[in-house]
Amino acid sequence: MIAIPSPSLRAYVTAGIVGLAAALAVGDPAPGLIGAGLLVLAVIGLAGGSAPRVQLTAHDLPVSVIEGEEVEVTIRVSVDQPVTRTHLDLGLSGLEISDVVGGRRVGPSTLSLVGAREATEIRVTLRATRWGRAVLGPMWLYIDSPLGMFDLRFEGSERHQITVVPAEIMLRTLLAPLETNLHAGDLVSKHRGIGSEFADLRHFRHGDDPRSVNWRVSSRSDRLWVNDRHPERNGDVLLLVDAQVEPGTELETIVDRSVRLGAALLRAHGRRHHRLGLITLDGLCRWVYPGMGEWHRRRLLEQLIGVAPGEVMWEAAERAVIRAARRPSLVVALTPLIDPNMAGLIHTLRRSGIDVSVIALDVDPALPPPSGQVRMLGRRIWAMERDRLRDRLAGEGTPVVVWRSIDPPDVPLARLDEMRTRWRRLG
Amino acid sequence: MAQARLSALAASVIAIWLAATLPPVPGSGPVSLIGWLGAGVLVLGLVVGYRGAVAGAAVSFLVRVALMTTLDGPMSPPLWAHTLLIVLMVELAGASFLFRNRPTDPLLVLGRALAASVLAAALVQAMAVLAEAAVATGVLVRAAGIAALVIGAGWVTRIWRRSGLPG
Repeated sequence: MIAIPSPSLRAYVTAGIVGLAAALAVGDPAPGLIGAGLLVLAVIGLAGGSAPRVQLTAHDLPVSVIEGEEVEVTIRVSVDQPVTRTHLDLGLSGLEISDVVGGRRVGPSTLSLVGAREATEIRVTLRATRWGRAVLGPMWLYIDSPLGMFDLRFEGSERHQITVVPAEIMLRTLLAPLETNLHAGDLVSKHRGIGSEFADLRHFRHGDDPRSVNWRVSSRSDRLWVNDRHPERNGDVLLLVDAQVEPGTELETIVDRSVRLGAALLRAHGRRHHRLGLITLDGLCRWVYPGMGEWHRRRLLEQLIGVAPGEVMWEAAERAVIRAARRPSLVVALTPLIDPNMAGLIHTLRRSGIDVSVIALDVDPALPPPSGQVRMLGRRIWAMERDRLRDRLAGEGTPVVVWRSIDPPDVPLARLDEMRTRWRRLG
Repeated sequence: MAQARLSALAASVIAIWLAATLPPVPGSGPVSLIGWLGAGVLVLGLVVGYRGAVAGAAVSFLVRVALMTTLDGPMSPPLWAHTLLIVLMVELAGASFLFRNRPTDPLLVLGRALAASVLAAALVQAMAVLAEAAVATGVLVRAAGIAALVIGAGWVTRIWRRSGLPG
């Protein structure tokens, strides 16, 4: 507990003593009487200025919530002596108070409590305002002393971090990896095996399952024919999130869109039992190898929401991406494609034989309108440079689509899917 | 922050009004100067956020009262009103710093300021009546003053130590 004497207490004590001394100096009781009155106020204030022992704890906190979701937490205030009106600052960041039972909301993260006894419980409903890492704590309890002579405050030691994942976006179209791996999934493999999708007919061989014999064909032949099938397998999907934009500018909205789409893709591909990996390119290049399971998905989301706009160290990034992106992964790059290095990285992946698709986020709506002809010209030249990068990648056989801010996320995915199917048919 | 500015403004208005109200009698120049000095210190302290300015202003106004007693004519405003205004000024200036530093209930603070000022004014008026009744002059005043000073300082020190607070 910290107890800071208020400016009023200092003023009363100092002025009171000066008043008494002045009365002696001038030989008149008037200043002495005022001084005595001020000292009496100071004494009343001091008499009730004992600091209680306080304990602040938060309970029922979730590990993660979805953006916009409300959670109810319990705050327990324990004091060794009853205190009157108090204020409790929850130290919220990324969360806001939407309802309180046992107190009154007086600020974005502050509650007013009528009083606190030995153990007081307050039920607070918090709402996650934006994806990222939300924080509750350290909490501060402010206690009013009699006549306000002391500023009594207590800082709680607990600091809780809650992961706020972006709100769910339902995707109807998903890109399917061209190659599959050995785990069961819902992709039709190119290989032959046990599955439900018909592939071809072949002669019966020793060891074939009798249930796979095609009796209709065999009845017209002198040999037994069996159905060959494609097995259902899963694939590896690797998201490459490029967050190289200037921090503190409107371009940060591009990162926000990338993260929201990335989270939606992770969820949707996770439901299809694909192995998921993630590479985030910001100030730190971090990656998670493809994997499965709830813990792995949580790890991916944790990394995704930790993305912050920053400058990428391209040499390290290229090494990391080459390590993490291996065949048979499908790499989906979410990038504003404003840096030629990013185009170079995608080109390298493509040359390595990796299936890459690029969703280029539209930069123009995030920028303020250009003022003056020179800026307008510069903006046009920059747009042409970005077009050239996209054309160059498309010319090398990498599907690239622009995701405009007015389009729902399904639009670029559907266009990419159509482009990939067309190119595959063309060979 | 709006509450902090409002209470700082109210404290400044009281200080300036107090400094400006001085009967035009010979020798009131230094008294007026001390009053304006106190008001200036308070306003400056509230602007730059210096807490010590509150004590500085209160001391200035106490010295001003002491000097006013040496002037001819009755004291204006009366002693109880002086006390009320000085305490109200100190409370509002202190509230301004409180609003800046921590969340607090403005109504409670205002009520407390009014209660403290009325309590102090009533106390001073009661003591003034008692002092007049005792025809306290010369030696008696000095003796009472020294005794009150010693007792008061001792009491403050004792309670401060017992409360276990820093400083």
